[in-house]
Amino acid sequence: MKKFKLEDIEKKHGLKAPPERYFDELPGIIQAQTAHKATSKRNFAWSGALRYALPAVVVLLVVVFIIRGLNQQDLDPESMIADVAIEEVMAYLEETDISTEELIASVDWDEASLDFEKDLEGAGILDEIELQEEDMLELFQEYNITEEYL
Amino acid sequence: MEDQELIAKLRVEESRNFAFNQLVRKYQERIYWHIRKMVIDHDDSDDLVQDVFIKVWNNLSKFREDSKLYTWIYRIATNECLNFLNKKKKRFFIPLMDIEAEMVSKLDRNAHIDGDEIHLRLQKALMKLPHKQRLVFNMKYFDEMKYEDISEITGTSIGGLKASYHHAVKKIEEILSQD
Repeated sequence: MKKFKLEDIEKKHGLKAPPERYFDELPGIIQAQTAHKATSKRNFAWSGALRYALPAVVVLLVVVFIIRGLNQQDLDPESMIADVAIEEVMAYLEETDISTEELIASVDWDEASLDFEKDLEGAGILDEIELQEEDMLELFQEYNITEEYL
Repeated sequence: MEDQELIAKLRVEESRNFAFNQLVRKYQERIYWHIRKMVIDHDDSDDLVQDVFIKVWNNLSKFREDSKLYTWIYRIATNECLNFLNKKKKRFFIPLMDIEAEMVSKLDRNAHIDGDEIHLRLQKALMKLPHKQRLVFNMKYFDEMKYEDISEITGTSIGGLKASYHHAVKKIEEILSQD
């Protein structure tokens, strides 16, 4: 068996050459890709920011709206009182130390929806109060309402 | 353009594209054949050589001038080759059919051989070597690179490279003597 020696053969890899003009075109192909990747990288940075930042902003806005909604409810005494039954309000007023004078003083009469003009004409809230004459006299005595106030 | 000049121009934004174009033109054939001798197939080599230069472009800022520019590029090409061959190996589940056999069959189909029969036999013998040993053999035998440069590329000591190369030569000569 003849001993083969590498140095005895021509130093050739023997692989077929690439297609014609391959090395002429390769630099352009590569640079087109590097330019494209530079653009995609910038877009990717923005899309990445949107992908993560946008949901976070939406969640934050929802939380803010919820908190504002709750706060508005908390700061709306009229709506809170409107939800309370009248019987409970009456019971509270009877038990509390607030005097009648204090209650009357707390009302903003300018805002109060009392139609006195109607009352003068004979119609109005007084007519809606179903009080007998005897009851009215009793009230007048109790609150010391003399003729000069009538 | 000399490597020093290329590096200087690559560092400046205005001249980077031009310098990179020059870099590709300077090294494309060497890198292509470095890869082609490992993977045999032209289309695979084409994909890999493009990947290599794109990686070079993306990592220009990381290039430290403690190594030569061309050994740095060769190192990237070597890693791409080894990753490609290792990935291909994992795709073969049947033990009898492995990547070396696939590449030998490619050689046999004559699609990639343009030389004497002895060179076909040489390529087949090279397929029997481990990938890294074949790499070292190619760089030393075909490219006639210095051991110092091969050491920079592979990260292997010069002594280890010399041992690996001489062992590869002995093995190939044995295989070719038996045929």
